[in-house]
Amino acid sequence: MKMNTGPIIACSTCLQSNAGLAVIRLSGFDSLSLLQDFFSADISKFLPRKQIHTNLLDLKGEILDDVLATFFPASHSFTGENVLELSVHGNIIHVERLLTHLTNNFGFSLAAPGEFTYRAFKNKKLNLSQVEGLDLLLSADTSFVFDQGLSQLTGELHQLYLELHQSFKKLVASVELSIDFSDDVGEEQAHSLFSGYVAEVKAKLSVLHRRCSAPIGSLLEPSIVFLGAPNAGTSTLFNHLLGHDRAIVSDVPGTTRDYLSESLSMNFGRVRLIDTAGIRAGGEAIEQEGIKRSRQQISHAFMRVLVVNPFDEMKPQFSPEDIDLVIVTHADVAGFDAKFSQFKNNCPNVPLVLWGHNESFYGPMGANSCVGPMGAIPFVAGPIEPIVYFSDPLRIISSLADIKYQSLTNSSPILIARQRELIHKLYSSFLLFEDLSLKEKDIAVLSSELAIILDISQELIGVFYPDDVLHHIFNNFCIGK
Amino acid sequence: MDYDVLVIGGGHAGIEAANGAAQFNLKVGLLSMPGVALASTPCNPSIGGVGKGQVVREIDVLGGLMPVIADRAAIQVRILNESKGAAVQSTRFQVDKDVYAQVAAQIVGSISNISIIWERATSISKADNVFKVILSSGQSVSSKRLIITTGTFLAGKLHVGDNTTSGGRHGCDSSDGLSDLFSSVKTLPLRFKTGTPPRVKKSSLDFSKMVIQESDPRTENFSSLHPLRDRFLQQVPCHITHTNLDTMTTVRANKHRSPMYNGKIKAVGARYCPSLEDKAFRYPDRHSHHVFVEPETLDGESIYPNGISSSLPVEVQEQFLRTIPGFEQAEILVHGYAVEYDVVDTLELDQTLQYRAIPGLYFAGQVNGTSGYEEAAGQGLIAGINSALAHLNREPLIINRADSYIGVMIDDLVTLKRDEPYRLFTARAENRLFIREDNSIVRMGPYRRSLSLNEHIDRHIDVYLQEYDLLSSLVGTYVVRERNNSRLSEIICSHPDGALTALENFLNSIGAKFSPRVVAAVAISTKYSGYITRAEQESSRMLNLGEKRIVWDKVLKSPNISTECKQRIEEHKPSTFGQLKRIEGIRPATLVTVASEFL
Repeated sequence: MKMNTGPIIACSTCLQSNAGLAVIRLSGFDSLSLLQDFFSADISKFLPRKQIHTNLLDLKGEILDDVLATFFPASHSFTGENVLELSVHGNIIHVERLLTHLTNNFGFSLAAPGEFTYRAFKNKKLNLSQVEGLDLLLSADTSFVFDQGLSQLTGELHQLYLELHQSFKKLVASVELSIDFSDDVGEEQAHSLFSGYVAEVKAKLSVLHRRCSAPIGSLLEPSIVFLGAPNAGTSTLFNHLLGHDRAIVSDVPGTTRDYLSESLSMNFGRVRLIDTAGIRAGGEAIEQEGIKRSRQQISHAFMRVLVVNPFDEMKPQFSPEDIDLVIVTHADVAGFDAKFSQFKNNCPNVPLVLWGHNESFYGPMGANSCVGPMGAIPFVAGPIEPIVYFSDPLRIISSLADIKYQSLTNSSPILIARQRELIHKLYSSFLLFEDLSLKEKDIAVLSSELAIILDISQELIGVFYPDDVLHHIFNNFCIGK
Repeated sequence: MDYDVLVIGGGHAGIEAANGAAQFNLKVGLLSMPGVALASTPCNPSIGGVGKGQVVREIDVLGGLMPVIADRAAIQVRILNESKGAAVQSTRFQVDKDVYAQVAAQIVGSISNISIIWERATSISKADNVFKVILSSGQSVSSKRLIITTGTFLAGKLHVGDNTTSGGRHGCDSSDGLSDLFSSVKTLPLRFKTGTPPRVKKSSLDFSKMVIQESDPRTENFSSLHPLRDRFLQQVPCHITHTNLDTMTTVRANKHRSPMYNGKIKAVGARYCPSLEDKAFRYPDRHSHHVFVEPETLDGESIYPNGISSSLPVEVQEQFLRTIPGFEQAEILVHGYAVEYDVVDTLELDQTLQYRAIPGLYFAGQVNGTSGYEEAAGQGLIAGINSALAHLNREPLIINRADSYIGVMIDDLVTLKRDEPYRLFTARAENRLFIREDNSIVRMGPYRRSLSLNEHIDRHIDVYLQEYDLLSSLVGTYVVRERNNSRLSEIICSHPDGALTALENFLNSIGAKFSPRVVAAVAISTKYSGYITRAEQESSRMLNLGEKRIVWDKVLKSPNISTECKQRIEEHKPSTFGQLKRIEGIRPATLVTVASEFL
């Protein structure tokens, strides 16, 4: 990681367009008095953590801006260093001018991405899992993710990890006790201590493991992926949902070569709608690359919507359990009923929506009227069963997404990949250890295996980690954080 | 008289130091307190134990005396932790304390280049790189290398109830002279304490109320030069009994009379070696504690009740003793007492146990704040060998902690800040699966060879290692056709009767003859090799980090490390990340900072 050593500066509001306010943060300067020339107010009157209304001056004493400044002396600041926060007018050109002025004339360096957090970490204002929490919180797309970031930041999860680690240490101690001090404590007591701590560790670990078992792949940046055979009509549907022509639509199979993505607001937060390239074998190299990328999107998706054209001969190649919803297109086309009834029995057991591009198809008198004995059921609200509906696909998609999101977040899953991986690793190693402890009488072997597990637990609480872990975490941050 | 190496103190550390140096044909003087036998065993008369048995076997390979003496004085022998696996299995010998001292005197007396001087040192000075020691007779001796192994005699103080006397142990004076003269040697700010139980008269005990513990004839001798299992003396049993509520109530009712608990003794004892008072007050809910009833000599009347050391007044000792089953009529021969003494700050020593600020001066044994004869002997041997190597301008002998318990102990002593007596146990070793009793020659042989000596033990090591290498490569490569072409090593690892039986069966079947100690070491090594490799792989990241060098004075300048941790770092001066990690009281956050900023 390349980090600065001296004082650093950055605009902490990640200004991308002109705005009313921008906050510039300065950290790591030796003394506030070095900055006197920058202010019209007497800097010695600045009180810790109190806002001061003052002008910023250039070298000639001309006024640069009218700002509010707050001084946080070390170590009672975010980074643990002297910090000054300036609320300035949020014009991009202006903010850049201020940054240049401070770097050229006051010895500040522009902060590297994540550097403020890095300094907070170094100065023990944050531990590793708090840093991960901050990262989660700052990049959250949904309120659940934000909340978990916050609970990491306040250290709730870290506390659970510490408690688990304490239990591990007690277990290790009970093994050592039985080796080195069995004369003093007696075999029976040593053994009951051992099995007691095995149970304690297992209980704590199981709770954490359950929170890591729900498939969350998709919760961090939830996406709803539309997939289907080439020319199934995914792009037409995609355009319809977004209300404008985002995807190029044509009758030539393979028109969508790469995936397209758009942001859409749902009840629980922001999701990305993704239109993937129609998946088929063969086709030219560029199309194959597009298909490869689409498959990646599909595997990371929060929700998968299969789009099917009953008039098409090509059969889609997905296992049904991966699909959350099937949308059958061309319901407004003559001959749909016959095609659909041939096709219906092969559909995966998930909700099915009939959809036609022509608005006039909606309603009890539309094309759906002759499907099945009762026809398609109009979707109103509430839970969604795996039956055939007709409705605006967007309503069904957003209801389904809400339900799925609720059920995934119910078990308060742990979201940070590094922690999930370590907990999975701890859990499976511990099950193996438990098994070994029943078969293997050689306690030195048990102790050796336990030492390996203890190292994983140390990694979880952030005592030890390979260099690349830090690198990875801080690289996620953007400048000014 | 002028010596090449002078040792002050004739205990377990002292005789090993003298012998260790004498092996190099140097002129060695051994100054011992008049009236105290060489290598006496004032605490419980046993050699070995968990972790300590490994040390005795390491001393054996390095050419030390303890294993030879212990074998010849053994009166009850056992294998501890036998069911728990070879790596943590240890040998323990109960010895006849009189025979032990006699054999020690006989062996040391027969080494022609060691002169034993039965006098006290009254003053020590150093000029022109030569230490001059004035003796109580007024004569003086001098030497370029001085090894101090004075045990508890450094400003020693004895406590029994209200009674306090000066001395290093019962019936002996303390070596106050040394305390005064070594004012430039840094001692720990707090004193250490050790204690013994009352000795009781054998004929006053009722052994029928105790559990008998016979000598185990399968136990192997410590010295690899001795026959595997032949005993030199007749074997006698030990016994086990227990304290009970009455015992503990008696102790608890006399808290105000206990020097340990009424504030009279401020020194600290080993947590891992608690006195009966410690047991009473630290574990108020427990009343039953083991008492191992051990004879001090083969024929004599003195019994050592191990597990109830106490410094309560004599009459309280008698009172609580008589509550113990079998002890109803117990008569005390010598009452229990506590000793407190000064301890050298071993952070000032280097890996050869030389005091860094005073070259040529070495400290070994209990004066370094360790407990146990085995720990003392191991240090004495290392100090003795290194003083000789230094005298001969040769490379020092430094034993890696990954290879031996002696290495673990010395590394701990010179890098860990301590606030209680140091007792060796297996949990202190990171490499426990490798540092075992059975493979002591494999582990220590190369160190001994590096000394280029040609004694009986050196020839034995050569033969052993040849056999070991041969059998190891056989096991590593042999494929058993009758067993589906399985590798011999796999068959050994998975045999239901254990690795040793499997290998013995195989060797019988092909008619090969190897010495039993080689067969055991190869079988056990084969069994553990998978686990050792796995542990090494899994922790290689940590190990690599552990060996990474750090510049401690740079670390001290970091603003991200707390003052408290800086103090500890400054005291220990760790040169690797591993040493830093082992410093007690170093916070995880400091390790994080050092790992991310300084590696």
